[in-house]
Amino acid sequence: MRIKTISRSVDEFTRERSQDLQRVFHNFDPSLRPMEKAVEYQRALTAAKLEKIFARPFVGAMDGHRDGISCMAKNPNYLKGIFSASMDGDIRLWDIATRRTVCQFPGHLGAVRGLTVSTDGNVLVSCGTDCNVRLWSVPRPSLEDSDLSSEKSTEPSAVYTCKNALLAVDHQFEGDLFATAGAQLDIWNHNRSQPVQSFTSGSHSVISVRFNPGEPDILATSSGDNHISIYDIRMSSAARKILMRTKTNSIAWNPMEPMNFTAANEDGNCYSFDGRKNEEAKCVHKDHVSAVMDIDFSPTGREFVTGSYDRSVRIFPYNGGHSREIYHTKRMQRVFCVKYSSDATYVISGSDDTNLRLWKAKASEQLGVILPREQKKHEYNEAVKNRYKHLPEIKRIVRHRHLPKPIYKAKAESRAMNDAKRRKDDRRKAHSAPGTVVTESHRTRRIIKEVE
Amino acid sequence: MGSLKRKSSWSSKTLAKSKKRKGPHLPNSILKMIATHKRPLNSDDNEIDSDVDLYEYEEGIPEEESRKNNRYDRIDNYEFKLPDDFEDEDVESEDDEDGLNSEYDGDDDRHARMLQVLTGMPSAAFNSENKSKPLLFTEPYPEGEFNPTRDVLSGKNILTEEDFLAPLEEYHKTSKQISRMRKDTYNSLVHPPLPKPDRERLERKTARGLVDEEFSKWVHLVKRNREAPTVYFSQEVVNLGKSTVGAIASEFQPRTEFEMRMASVLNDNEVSEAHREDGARLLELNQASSLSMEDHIKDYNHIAKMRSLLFNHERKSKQIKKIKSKLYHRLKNKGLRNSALGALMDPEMAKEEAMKQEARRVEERMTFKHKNRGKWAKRMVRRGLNVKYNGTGEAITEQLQINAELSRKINSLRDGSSSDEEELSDGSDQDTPYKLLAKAKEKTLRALEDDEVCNSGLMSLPFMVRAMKKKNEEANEEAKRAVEEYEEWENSGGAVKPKKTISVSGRRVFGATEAPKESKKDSDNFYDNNSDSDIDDNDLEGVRDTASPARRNTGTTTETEVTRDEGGEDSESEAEQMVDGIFEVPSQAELINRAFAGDDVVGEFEKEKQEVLNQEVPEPEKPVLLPGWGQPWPTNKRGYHQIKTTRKEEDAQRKREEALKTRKDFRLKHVIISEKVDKKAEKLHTTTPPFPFTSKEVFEHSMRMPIGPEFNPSTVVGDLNRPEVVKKTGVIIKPVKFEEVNPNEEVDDEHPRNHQKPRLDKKTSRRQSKVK
Repeated sequence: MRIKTISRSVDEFTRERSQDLQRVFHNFDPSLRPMEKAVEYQRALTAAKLEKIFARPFVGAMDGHRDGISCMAKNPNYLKGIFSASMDGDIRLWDIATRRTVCQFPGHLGAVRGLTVSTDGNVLVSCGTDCNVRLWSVPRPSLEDSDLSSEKSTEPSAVYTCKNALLAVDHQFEGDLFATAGAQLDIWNHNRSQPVQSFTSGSHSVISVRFNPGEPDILATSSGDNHISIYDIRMSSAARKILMRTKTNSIAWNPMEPMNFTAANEDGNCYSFDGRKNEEAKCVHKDHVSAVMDIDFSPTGREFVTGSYDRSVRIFPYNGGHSREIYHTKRMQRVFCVKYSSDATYVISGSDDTNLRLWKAKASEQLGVILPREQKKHEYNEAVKNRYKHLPEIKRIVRHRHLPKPIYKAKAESRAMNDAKRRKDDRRKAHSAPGTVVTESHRTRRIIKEVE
Repeated sequence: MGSLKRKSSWSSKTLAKSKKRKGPHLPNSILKMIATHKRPLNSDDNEIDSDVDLYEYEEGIPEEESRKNNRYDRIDNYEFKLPDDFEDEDVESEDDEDGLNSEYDGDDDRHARMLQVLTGMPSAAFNSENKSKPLLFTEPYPEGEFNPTRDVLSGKNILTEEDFLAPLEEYHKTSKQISRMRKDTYNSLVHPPLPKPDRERLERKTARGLVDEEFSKWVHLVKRNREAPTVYFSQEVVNLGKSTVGAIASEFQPRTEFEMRMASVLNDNEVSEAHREDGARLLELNQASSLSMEDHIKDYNHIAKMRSLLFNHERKSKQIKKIKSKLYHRLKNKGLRNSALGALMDPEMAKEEAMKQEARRVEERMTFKHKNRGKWAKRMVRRGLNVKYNGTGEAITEQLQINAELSRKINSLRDGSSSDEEELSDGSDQDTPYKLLAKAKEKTLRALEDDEVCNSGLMSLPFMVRAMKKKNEEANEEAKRAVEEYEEWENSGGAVKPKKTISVSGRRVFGATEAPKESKKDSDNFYDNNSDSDIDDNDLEGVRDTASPARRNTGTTTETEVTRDEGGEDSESEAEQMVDGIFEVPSQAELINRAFAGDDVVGEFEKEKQEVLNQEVPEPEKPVLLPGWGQPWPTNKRGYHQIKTTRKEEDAQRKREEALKTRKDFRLKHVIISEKVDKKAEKLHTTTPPFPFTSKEVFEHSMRMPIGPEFNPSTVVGDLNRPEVVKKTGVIIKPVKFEEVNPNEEVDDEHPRNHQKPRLDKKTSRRQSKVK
């Protein structure tokens, strides 16, 4: 007679320490677990709901300016520091961790419109409507400085004067050049009081300028005559010019894909372009109901954040047509500037209500130290949610957002208008000879042409 | 370059002819720039290409050139315009000869200068000929080398440099020099700039090419990163300072006096060197300092140990001596005597030894004494000390070995029987059946005689004894019967022979003859007997199997009878038919009818379908009218309420019929297609595959496998659940740096979750990032 027994080798089941987890063996035969799909669906649903429950994106506000925030700059070399400037000429350095002003940079007489920091984090460049470019040396962060009461103020290390008011400034990545935008585009060196190079184009002024982080010599500008231009500062003129129907307020290059950039447009959309093919946008990111004022890419290159005149901040995937997230608070007014933090974890917005606001980039992310098992659990939740995100119930929960009433109404209105327009176009198409009525795609609709 | 210049020269020559001019104004600097950029020097052959490159568009005639208002000097327009009918170099040479006269109209100054040089006359003389007034001119001096004729002066027969240089053309060297000279003259000309938009356009074009090139070099890198299932931004990170004890210790600085002294000893060169090189040297160093003391301690310890051992031994022996029990001492002596040697000497003792061994075995099997059941063994195993210490492990394995030895199956008794069997089977192949029979009989008889059972152990228990007795009796009876049969067969002699051969051959032929049954029973009997002879075998089944051949026989016959009964009348009749020799094959339909005589399949199916239909599209409920309610009184047949209700009913009925008509199985008579929607299951399905998927199959394949830790081994769960971007909070992510990427590199995208994740050890998708 034979008796079957469970045999377990002692070596495999002996724990080295009493704290070790007991080893558990599973039989992974799918026929033994017929309900796995239903189980995972349920987990996905739970994960989606938990995400909603834990979605608390607002971390804190930084209060101190006396006028609306006009621009911000993040220190590429120091995670905790962020610079902001307001319409009354006040420039401040904030410590994000404590959300306090560390240092002030007084001097500008009019509104400060542009702010940027060199890659090594030592030089702050500001410019404004008072036709001045000011260079400041950034105070070194030190442990002794964490004394909360001390708010230092510093003198500019250099002041350069121009003929016209300046609207934007950006620093080259890992170089010592910076570009200012005003009546013309000027390229400056830190040590010279005159621009080393100037580009003029048309009668309209340049609104924004942004250097390419991957290709340090290439920069993109947008101007008041609805142009977007790409320059190579080694050449004497623009390399590309795109003419759009509406003005572009800001441009951001994708830091991981140097040929791609996204333009924040006055019509409430963002347009992602491939720098080599400009006759159509790669992707149109729609969701804002008013002009998009500023845009900044996540350092991972997979997302970007936009701030809009409709008093909301949105986060878009770099290749998605609609936003993943919308942030708004009751007191937040028109958002003029947004920044993604250098570790891609936070988003900072500066708005008309004189406040900087710190948000989590992922609304339901758990902050602080996360244990490995916790981390695994989060990852699993995310994966399972991602897997079943197309199912109606989960989709509904994941997509659901409370919107401020004005945005909600404006959205409904624009949707109605678009529907009507589309209906009309369809009818027109149906009742005319085939091929005579051509509907232009969204990607080319707002682009007039690429200037030869 | 050369070609371009040639063109411009040619244009200047043929200016008079070209009334209509097209093409851009090309400043020389731009031409030079483009040309240096586009082609190597002196490449005349691809003229057409250059043409295409430069003048891909046509410009309208500028207003000043159309001479509408004559505001501008005529002469201004004559500079370096290309005619649109320009074709080839060859044409040019023809034109040269034809339009020799007219070609210098534009270059009056130079011509004048040349003439001046040649003739030595003041330039005013030549300048006057510009005005094409008919001049009356008397020549005061004779015509000659230094006095040009009238014709020459009026421009009719102008002397050109060609005239002078023509004879020199034959000399190769000079002709080359001449051509170079000509080029130089044209180069030195200053061209007016192009209009600003055109110039900018050209500049943009060149710049665009360069920028596009810059961008294009990133394509492979970007593509790789985009296609990577996971991108890591926190790989090269994390210098969190000192992470290990060793790292901390390496930066230790001695501060106190004690630490200093320790450090001085530790960092002593001599010691460290000795340590590195040889242990003996270290020992020497040691001895120099503390030999005597240590040695002394060692000796002392050794002596103490020996003394304590001796003491223990003495104490034990004394204790044993003190025991007065005779039994103990006898046993002890016996134990000494009962060693393996003694067992060898005496068979009686061997038997005893065997019994003891058996008892031990039984005990082992019942208690598992040596299978890590002891307190010590359990403790060792639980703490994992058996893995840790070799000695413990050995001890435990020794025990296990003992256990294995003791609990091993012993085939000693059965071995004999099996060998017997083998013998028999071997014999059966060769021996005659007679011999076999004889042997079988002999065995059976022996078994009958040999009734004794071992009375020890389990067998000594009363109920076991009883059972054994019963069994034995049965077996004996059977054996007796078998013996009788053997005798019968022996008597029958030759008649049996063929049967035996049949039985041996192994193939049975069932037929009318009785032979196979007999052979079967024979063989059964044969082996059964053998097993029967093993009385030790407790297998009751085996005993039951040794049923008497007679009984077996009857059993089989009854069985056949039963089957016949089951066959029923049909088979009987068939058999009769067969007996008659005429077999009428019934038709297929008839057969089927006969086979499924009782069941109405079609009817049942229809009924079933109706049921399904009723369930899925339920029949409208008929309003239940309570007597006296819903009907106006006095009741007439078409009362108000009644009409209303019937209308409702009709509507419902019509709806139902429509619903039935729209069903997929409406026209299919033999099919039921269920259109019932399971609402609970519905939420697990989508109507279309979600975005990145285009085909249903691929999507389903990707969803086939669950990703949870319960359904997957822990080794792959991490990979399955890894997010698309792995980053660390607090780590600054730097922008992408350029690196060469081989586009043909194999991307390992074989992964359970296809649009995500590779192994973590795949470092290709790593990016540089740094902590601050």
